[in-house]
Amino acid sequence: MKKKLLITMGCSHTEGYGCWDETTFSDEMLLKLKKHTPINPFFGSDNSNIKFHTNELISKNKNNFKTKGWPANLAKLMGTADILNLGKGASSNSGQTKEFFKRNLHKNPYAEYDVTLVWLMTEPFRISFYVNRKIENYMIDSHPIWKEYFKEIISHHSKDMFNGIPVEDPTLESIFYFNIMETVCIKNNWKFHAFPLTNVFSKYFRKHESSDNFHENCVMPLLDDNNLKLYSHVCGHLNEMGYQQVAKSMYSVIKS
Amino acid sequence: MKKKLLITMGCSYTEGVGCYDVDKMSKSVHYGFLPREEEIIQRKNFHKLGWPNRLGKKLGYDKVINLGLGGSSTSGQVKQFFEKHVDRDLSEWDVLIVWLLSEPSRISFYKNGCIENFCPSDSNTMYVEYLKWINQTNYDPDVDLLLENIFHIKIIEQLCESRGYSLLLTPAYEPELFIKIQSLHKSKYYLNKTPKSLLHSLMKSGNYKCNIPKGDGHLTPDGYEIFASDLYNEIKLNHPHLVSTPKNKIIWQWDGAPIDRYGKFPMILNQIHTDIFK
Repeated sequence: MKKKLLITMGCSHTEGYGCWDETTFSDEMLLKLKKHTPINPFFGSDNSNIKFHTNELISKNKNNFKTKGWPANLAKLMGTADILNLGKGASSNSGQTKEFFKRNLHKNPYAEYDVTLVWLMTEPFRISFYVNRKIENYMIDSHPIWKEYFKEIISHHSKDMFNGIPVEDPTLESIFYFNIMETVCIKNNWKFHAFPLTNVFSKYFRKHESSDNFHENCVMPLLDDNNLKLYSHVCGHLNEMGYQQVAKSMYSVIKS
Repeated sequence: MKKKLLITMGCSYTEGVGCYDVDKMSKSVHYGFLPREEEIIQRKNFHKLGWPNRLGKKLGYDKVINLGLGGSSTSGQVKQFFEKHVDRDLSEWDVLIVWLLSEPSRISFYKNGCIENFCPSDSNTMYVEYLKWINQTNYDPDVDLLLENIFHIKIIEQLCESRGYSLLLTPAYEPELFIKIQSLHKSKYYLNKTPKSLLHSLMKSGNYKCNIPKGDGHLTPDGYEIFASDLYNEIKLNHPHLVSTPKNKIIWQWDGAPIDRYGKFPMILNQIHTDIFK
């Protein structure tokens, strides 16, 4: 019987961002954190926290992200010992696909494994390009290239808006990348499951793509009063409890 | 034994631009500036007389589906292939894809529900911004463009391996750029063992350049015939298993128009028709 391998793709929510180990925080940061909730998270609510959000802090928490995010939790539920988590904060669906190909994973270096690839597809508005031989991702309002994409490329006649951004054209881009990954998985005889990060684009996705490998019901818990305990007051992402719930929701879909 | 299907991918050179029917033109201008009815007549002529049907006959294939579209990018061509053919069952066919790779500087995005391609000459502000960023780097900016292209080439390679299709890649641009691609991406699907651009060599000779309208720069029908012969000779030399007995006539289709989900860009050419090429 083949050993199992779980490959996961996605953005910060797949990287495990939000599973903070507060023993790595300074006293000053801990004091400031007391004033914050997941609705009004520490990172992003005022400029002073920029000095706390350092590479050093991220580095100290990487292992927590890795061991407490949804990929690790899902692997446990699936009885899978080996995980390759490709989740990368701020990345786009196109950038994630490019990274997968750049690593030559499409050539199936895991032929001896029974592979399942789970993709928590990020918001579709992000784009990517090769710049300086690296895959650069551009989020909403993050860069002049994205601003021009928003201004010049995507249709503004659309009635389908999310926070003022038309959803349908970017979703068609994401469907293209979904189809690429589905093709690779079929070729390599891997199981493939894709989930949307938000419900916002899943209905547009389903309008244009009928594949059973896309599960349109969002697995992320809603950020409301009942679920505040699942979210981090540090950054507003899910915390380890939240990611456990995501893994359970994914598993219930995958096993059926 | 399965019937043989040739699918061709590429830009204007694959669409067959240059094969004008001068007698049916009210003025000597680029097809895009002709009245709509005349544009359609000209484009149908392109599709019939371009290299894909000629190569299909020489290779002895039963059918040609030409996905070539003027102005399209490598990424746009791959998107189009996925939109139209990823769910299509071609298991009854022995499929060969010949991809005449477009100039690598073009990019594509969905706009108004349609694949839209952007060329450097479009002066689109996003494109200009992108070029500005890659030109600021310390590296050769061509490499960034080529890496985008290589990503899309790998996708079609995967698709072909997944479906059991044969694939041949050859550039529509100068060999120097193709050498760079080959140094960045090793592939068994290149038409030639050594970097060579058959189209570029033919264009450079200047003998078969279309000059109606003046300065068009694509090939004439005779030029496409020579290009198809050059392709055939290279396939026979390097990939002889893909060659059958030549045919006198073949069935062909042009299917290069993008899917228009919202009917915002009505294109009569979008209606696929099947015809015979003798």
